Amino acid sequence: MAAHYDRLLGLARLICRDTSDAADAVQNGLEQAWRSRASLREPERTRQWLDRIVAREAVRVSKRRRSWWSRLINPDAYVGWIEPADEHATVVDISSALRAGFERLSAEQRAVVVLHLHAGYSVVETAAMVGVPEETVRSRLRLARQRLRKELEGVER
Amino acid sequence: MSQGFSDERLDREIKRLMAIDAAHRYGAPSAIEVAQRIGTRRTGQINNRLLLVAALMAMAVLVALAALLLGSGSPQPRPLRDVHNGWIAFSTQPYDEAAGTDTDQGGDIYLVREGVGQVLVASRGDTKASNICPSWSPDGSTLAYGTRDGTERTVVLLAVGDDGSIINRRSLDLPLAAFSPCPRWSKDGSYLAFPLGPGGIPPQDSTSPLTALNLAGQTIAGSLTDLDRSTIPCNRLGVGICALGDLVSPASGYGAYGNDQCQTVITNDIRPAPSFTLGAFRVPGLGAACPYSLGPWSPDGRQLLLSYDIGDFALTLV
Repeated sequence: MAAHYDRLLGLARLICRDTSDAADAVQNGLEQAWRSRASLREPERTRQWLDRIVAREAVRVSKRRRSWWSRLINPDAYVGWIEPADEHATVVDISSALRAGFERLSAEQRAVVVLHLHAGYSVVETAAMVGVPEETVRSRLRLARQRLRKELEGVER
Repeated sequence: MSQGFSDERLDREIKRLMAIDAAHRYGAPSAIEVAQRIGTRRTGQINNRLLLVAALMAMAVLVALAALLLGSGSPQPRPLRDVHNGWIAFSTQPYDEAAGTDTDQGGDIYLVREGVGQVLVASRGDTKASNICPSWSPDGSTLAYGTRDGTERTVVLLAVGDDGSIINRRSLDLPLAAFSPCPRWSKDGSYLAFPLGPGGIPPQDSTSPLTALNLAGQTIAGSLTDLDRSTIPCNRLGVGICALGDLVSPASGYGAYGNDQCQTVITNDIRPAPSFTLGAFRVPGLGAACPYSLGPWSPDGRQLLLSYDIGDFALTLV
């Protein structure tokens, strides 16, 4: 399990945009995985199986934590994304813009972007992992790209 | 300008950024730390934990000094449920409540007291009925347990005397939707709560409803969400549904459950809200054998019953 942990935490953090939420999502996901370990028929697919469980949990945690009601009653509970230092100013601009755009995506959109572009799953696999039709995945990817491209408008190259 | 961003270039930038962000640790615990704590609710920053541990150690030293100054004759805290004179109840039937299943082999309920021996209080007889999940009422006067016999589920209430004898016995029928016959006492002992699942299927998260019966066997009217979930032990462990064998000690200070490493985990992280775990204590398996079922805590909350085989059990001091 330790071999998967860092990857799962990174995956969850990209979806949740919050390290504490991501840690919660991974813990919850690992609990679920342990309980349903009998359902894993093909051990060679452990990685995809764990990614699916944790990605879904990350979406759930993210939606729960970032509901409008939660923000209203506890606006300071969500510490913003801490940006890693980057030496290249232009790249920082692009990175900042992309991160800002990523924040504005829905958790479901982030999940498909992360699974498809970061984890390298195909659209078909991503659809199966998040439990939606392929067309929905394509639609979410398209909308996410539109949003992110819009954030990049005005960034000097 | 950014108008030059093609899909390919945009994807490349997104991948680059996500690779950086995914690898950045932000003070998160290491894989090893978490692997050692799999099953606990949440991880915390090591610096914070070290500070807390140091603070707790300092407090413990102060308390010990205060106890010495006040003299050794001060009364011990009165343990909860001491009216049983030390009787612990356990079932010979392992039961996976999370999955809502057992092995359908039948099971008996015993009372056991250290130094005295064990008393059979519920026998399956010649049937495959499973008598499972014994649970003492908060005042220690009544032992409740569930019975599964095919599709029938009932809960039995035993009034137990201090010598382990049964004074009274009665059964309550459970609603069909209650997938688990494992009773959970409310804090005041006025009702028993059971998790509900659609069509008897185990609930999947902490928002799943509960049903409750009063001691006359009547379903409590009103919204199930009105029930005080915090009084129900399995939910106080911070997991959505009851983990296999999880239990809260009588003083509600510790929870225990089995993990997938053949260990019994005892943790102080039993608050309903996510919290930073200060630590967890692990009891290894007995040789090559994993504890096949986790029994209850002793009445004073200092011992935990681990069953390794039918008829064989170990009392482990925690």
